[in-house]
Amino acid sequence: MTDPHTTQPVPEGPGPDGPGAAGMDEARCLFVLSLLMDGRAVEPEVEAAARAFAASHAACAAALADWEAAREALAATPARRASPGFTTRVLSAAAEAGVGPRRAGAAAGDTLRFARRLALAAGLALAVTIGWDLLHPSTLRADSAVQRHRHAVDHFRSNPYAADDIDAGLRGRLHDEEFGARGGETR
Amino acid sequence: MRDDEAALLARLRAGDEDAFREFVDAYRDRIVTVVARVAGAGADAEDLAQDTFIKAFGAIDRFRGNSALFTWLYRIAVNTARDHVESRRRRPTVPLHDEHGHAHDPPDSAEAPADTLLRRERAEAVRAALELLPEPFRTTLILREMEGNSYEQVAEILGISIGTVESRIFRARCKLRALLGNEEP
Repeated sequence: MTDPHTTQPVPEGPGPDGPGAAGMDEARCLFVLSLLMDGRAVEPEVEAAARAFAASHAACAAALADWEAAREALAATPARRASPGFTTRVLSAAAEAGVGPRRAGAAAGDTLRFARRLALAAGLALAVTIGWDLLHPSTLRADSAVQRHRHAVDHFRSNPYAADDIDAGLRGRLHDEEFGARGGETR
Repeated sequence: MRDDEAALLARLRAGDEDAFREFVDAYRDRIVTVVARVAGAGADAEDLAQDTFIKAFGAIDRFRGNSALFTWLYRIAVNTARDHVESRRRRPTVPLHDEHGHAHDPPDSAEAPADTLLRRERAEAVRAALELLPEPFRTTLILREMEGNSYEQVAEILGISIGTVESRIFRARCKLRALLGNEEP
């Protein structure tokens, strides 16, 4: 296994806002050492200044040694392994949550559910339309001339649902004695 | 994104069950490990890992492919574990068992028993100090030192700049050292 700490890509760039050797102090030295420990790019003069400062200041060298010991301890922490059946449990939980894989049967079921919903929506729309028409009957009325003779037109119908045939009715009435008696009324 | 990842992503989006199984199989150990480390002792790492995958499944259609698929999943895992830490901080509980596997350090056969014991004790002390490290330094140091991510990866996972990563890691090291009683931060 490669050591991730020694294979860091070193980006191009100027590195930290680096003080020169003259401006180096313990805090700045430690910051630069922290970057160098991780293989970060630092300007050469800043690196040289930090290393020179650390060489003459035991506190910096001690801090670096402690950091490296801590790194070693942390990196040695064993990785965890998922327990057997983990993947199956995740997929089951995902199915319960309604996310994750869709089976072929589930896809067909989706289509069927969609068709049912569509049919239900169409039925509801039809019921609403009929209900609305029953509650709000049309107010369209015939013109006044037809309205005036409505009773005559109704009289010509053989039943309430028969189509109006005024001509046929009038022709029939020409031979009707009763009609002749009321001819003046219908003119 | 790599070609193989793009193909896997397309199959995931199509709802291919085998693709979901491959996805979980490929990353489950790394996700369980990172959530165990970030959430710390007392957390049920497998529950958190399961939450991570379910969140990822639910968001797979919104993944734009700006990062690697694993980096995206890893970010969800870190956030899930951090949310758990935050909720636990609000409702403190006593851990019943150790989730870090602290007792499982393999002994070095070339090492004298006393040295092995000393090394283990030091490692225990460092891990215990890490548990006490405040956020966001703790997670940043875990992602770097335990998970082996580059500064660029840490920046992407946490959504912060490289400069912030540099600063946080430096400060985390100083604080960890202070917690170990070696130096003031």
